[in-house]
Amino acid sequence: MGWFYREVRWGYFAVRDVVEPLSEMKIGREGVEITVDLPGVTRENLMINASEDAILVEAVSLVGGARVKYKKLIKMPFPIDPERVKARLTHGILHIVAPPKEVGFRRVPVE
Amino acid sequence: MSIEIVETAPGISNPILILAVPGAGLVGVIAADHLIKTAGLSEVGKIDSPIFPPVIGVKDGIAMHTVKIYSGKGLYVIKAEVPLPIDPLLRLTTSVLDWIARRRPKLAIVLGGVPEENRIKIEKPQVMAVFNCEEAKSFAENIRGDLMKEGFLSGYAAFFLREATRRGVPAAALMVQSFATYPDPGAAAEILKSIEPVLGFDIDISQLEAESETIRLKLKELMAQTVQAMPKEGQAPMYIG
Repeated sequence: MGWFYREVRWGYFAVRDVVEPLSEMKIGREGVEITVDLPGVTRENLMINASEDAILVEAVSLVGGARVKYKKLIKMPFPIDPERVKARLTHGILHIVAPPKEVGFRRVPVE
Repeated sequence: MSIEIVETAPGISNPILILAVPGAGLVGVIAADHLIKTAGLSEVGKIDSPIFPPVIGVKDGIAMHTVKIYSGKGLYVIKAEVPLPIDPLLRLTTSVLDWIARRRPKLAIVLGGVPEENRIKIEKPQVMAVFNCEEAKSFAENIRGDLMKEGFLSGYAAFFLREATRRGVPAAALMVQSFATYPDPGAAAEILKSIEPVLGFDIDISQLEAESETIRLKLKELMAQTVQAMPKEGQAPMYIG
């Protein structure tokens, strides 16, 4: 174990490039359900931005004395409602639920 | 094309064999790695074949084999450090069982993970054991895990148990609830705790728990490659190593 692991030591600190975390996506009853593996990340160092088409996850952690930056852009299989996206972080695993954008009909007045 | 097993130290008789290959949650690999480290096992051989993927390990600029044999404390641990496609994996397994059968082992154990969708909600993952004969079951009667009472087992564990039976090798498949696509040191710790009574010595898992996050980050690439090597759902045989 360990030789897949590349590390760049820069000056005093160990600095790694931005890491793309492992993630999984499935379509559930509530919409798109995504989990992202973010070892060492706390809520304070995590930022999630959602649009109708994609969710961007950015985080920073200190793992084994090294600062690690995570970044992952997750494209949605269908438009989601960014206002209703929910996220929970448990033991370094982020769980996101993104409900689909509600498509309704709007009455169009005829002039 | 053959599988070549090369030993560089005198063999031991009546050993316990532990086989760990990359699979769900990399449970077997993480557990084997920790066992090798904490029990002070030394490298005593390698396994190679032209049918293995063209991948080598590199340490300090030196190329290394990716399937290695470790030994000590009456134990052999065989660990594959790269995911193997199904055919080479099955041929590796039969070669290892042929090799260990000559040593008259007390027990051959395969460690693996069973993907559990709600793993994130499970604090203490459950370990399940399946044996291939009464002899194996009575030898490992004090194992800390639940015995699979009835049902069907498919995939790599089933192949391992069946091939062990054909060679008269007492064998066990130990499976723990784990993440499917993320390295799972917590599940590896549970499986190590479960085999402690069978091995006859204590395994300190505190370091495994303390370094859990570093291990998860280090094994990210191997996990991604293992997921790619796993057959998709519905294809047989399943790969759960």
